[in-house]
Amino acid sequence: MVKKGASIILMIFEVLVVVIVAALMISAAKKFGQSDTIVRVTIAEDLALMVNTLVSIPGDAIVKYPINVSKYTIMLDTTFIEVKNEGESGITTEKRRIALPEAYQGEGIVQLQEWLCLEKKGKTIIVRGCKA
Amino acid sequence: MTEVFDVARKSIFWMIAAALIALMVMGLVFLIADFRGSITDVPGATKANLIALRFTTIPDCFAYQDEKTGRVYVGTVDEAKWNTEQLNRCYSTGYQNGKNDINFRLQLKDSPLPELLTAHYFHLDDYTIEKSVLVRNGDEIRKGTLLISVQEDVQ
Repeated sequence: MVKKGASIILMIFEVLVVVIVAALMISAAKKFGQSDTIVRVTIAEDLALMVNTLVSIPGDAIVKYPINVSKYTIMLDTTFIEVKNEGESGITTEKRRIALPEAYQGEGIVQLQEWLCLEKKGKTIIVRGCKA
Repeated sequence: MTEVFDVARKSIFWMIAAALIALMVMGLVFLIADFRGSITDVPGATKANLIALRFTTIPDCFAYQDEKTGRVYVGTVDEAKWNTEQLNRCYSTGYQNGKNDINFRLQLKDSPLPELLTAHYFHLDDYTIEKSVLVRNGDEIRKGTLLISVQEDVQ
């Protein structure tokens, strides 16, 4: 009788362990596999490259970023560009450093707008929303 | 006796299984994180080339600008601007983590002008970008080659 009871308890324990491990692995894979993370990182990298390219243009210029950024908040500062979005696990941020020449400034914030433009006006790089 | 052996056997099995499962979960997490990093990675050469564009295109770096008309001569290096202070005004690396930024060494080939280095350049070149430029010294203009040695990251 004792042997049967112990065997049942062990079986229940084994099933529980399998269920917990499977749930853990699915949760980890789901968290890392979310496309939001990859899109956020891509946007931050792209915008950092675009800022560096705009700096190199010897005049005024404007360029539109071709990806829909309505789910993100993008902020440009003189030393970094930041992309934020609010997901299941709270607010997640991706930041990239930019190196503007000494006399240059970076400014602007775009929140929940579909399209984003980067503009160079004199020695200021501005991030703002723009039309399709 | 057989019952004792059964329980002991199962205990040992689950101890080993628990360790292996923990390793598997960690391995999966690292695998996915590594894959995610590799698909969002931008080649260092792309970043370096885009930053290096500014050296010969804007007057805040080394591009010649006509004082009277304000016109910027893209691709023309002004010898009067060729100094480290101008380079630092054009491009500076972070004070604390500058060695992790892209650093440059600039040389004008076959020229008596000294080479210019960014603040955290340690002569660990990854590659060199070569650009054909014009070099202007007052009214004198000559052909030249700008060599931009790139140090992507110091490990």
